[in-house]
Amino acid sequence: MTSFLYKPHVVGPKNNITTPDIVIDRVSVLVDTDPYRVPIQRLSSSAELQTVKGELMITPTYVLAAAGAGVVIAPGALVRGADHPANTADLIVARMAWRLKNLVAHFSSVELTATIDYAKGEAKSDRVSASGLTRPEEALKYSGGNNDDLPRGIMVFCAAPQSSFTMIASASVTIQLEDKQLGRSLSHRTDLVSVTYDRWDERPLPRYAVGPVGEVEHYV
Amino acid sequence: MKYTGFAATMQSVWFSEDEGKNWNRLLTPTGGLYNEARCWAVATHAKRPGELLAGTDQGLYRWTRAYNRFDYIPSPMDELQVMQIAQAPDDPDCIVCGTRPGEIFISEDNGSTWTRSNLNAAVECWFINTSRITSIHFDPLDSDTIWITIEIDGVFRSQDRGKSWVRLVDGLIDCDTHDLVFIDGENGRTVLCSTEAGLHKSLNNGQTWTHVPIPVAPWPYFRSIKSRADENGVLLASVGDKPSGETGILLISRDYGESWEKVPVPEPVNSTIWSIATNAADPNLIFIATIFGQIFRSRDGAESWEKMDRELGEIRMIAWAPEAT
Repeated sequence: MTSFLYKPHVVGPKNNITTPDIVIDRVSVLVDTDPYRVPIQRLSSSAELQTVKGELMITPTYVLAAAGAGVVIAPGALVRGADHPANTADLIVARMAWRLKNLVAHFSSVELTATIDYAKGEAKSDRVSASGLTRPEEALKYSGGNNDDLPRGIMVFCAAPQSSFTMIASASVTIQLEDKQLGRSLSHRTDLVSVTYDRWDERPLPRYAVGPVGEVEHYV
Repeated sequence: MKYTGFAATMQSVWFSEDEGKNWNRLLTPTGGLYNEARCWAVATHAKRPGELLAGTDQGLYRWTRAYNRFDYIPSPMDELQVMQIAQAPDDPDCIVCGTRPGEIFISEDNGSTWTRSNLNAAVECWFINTSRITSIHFDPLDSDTIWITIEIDGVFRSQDRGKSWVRLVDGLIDCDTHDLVFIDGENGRTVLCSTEAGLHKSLNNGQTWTHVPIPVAPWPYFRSIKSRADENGVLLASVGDKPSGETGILLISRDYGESWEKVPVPEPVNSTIWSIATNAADPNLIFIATIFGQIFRSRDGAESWEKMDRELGEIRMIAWAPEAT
């Protein structure tokens, strides 16, 4: 069995935080009403993602995940080659999340913002009203859930394809979910690093530590 | 009889080869398990002398005396915390592991392949955030039946080796369950369940539970409960002031749980007694360990106890097994 251990910090409306560890073994991307199943190995909460050289497309998403005390919602993104379909994307999900039930009633006022920061300080961003996205109730229904719940182990990325970015250079992507009604926001930043980039000009060979000097026979 | 003691701690597995007096770990460079791996569970099996399974935060490991080394067992549990391990009494190749988050993984081929059981345990809890398996038991009368306790989701039973489960919580006043004991006699079966809110009893194989008042217990936090290995009616139960706690007591019943009394131990315990170790190879030899590192030993079936001088760090489970002859 392959799984991803999702470790969200679920922030409640009164700023209480719970930190469940949730086993996710099925992930799908929902574009409009079409769910695409994606291998779980492509799912990550990493702050840095290695990418292949070439044109990339970044699509902001909100993400729904099954949890015991109610579905959680977090910002996320699809990262894929510019001409590649959604089910080939790498999936990024934030570890900061909210409980869906606390914002579903005013979901149309929620905004999803994607910001691309290029290394030279140049930035561009796009903001999408969540009202333009598939509503969570619909997303849950398309994913085998009901109005307010998902079967265990399932995570769904609800994409905003109309606000996808195309980019070439290495950059960082920040996805923000803003709940204006409750005056709060969540964001997740991921640095996209081309695999051709090498952080050290001269990469040394791995070394072997000399270790302790002297007798260690009785060390346990 | 020469035997080895094993202690699962937050600094790997400790071994005692001198009846609990001294405890040592394997050397990290040759032992196969990092000395600061967090270890929650150890398991031995009578049909596999010289072997130990260890559940850690780095996956599942098997120690063999022949090589005096841990070998990593590849499994889907590497990213999880392996908190409980049990092997079928009639088939040590059947290994059941319980994790945090609360999942059950089963191997029927000695760890070569694994199946994640479709256990519908709670995945979240407001108090501890993430559920975890606190004990696994093969039914003494039917090795296809597996029982588990989950913190914090009650008791589950599978009668088909983990293919399907039923949740048995009717009457439990608290679903923070820790351990089970089965008493099978002429008058049928009694199942005892330790919980954070006291001891519970079922006379209908877990369908319903009733709380059992134990006046001698000053606190409700029941942790480990074990039957003496010769099933002669002697039961032991540990009770702490809280988890992890600052003190605790050990209770003994000599009449299959009908009545209980406090067992004196030679020094005050420093926290809840977390683990009780019995083995059918010698029902009179019993170890207990507090979660904060004290170890006590009885050589007369729990009637008297002596404290081992050596204390370890955080002990999550203690066990012993005879050396292979």
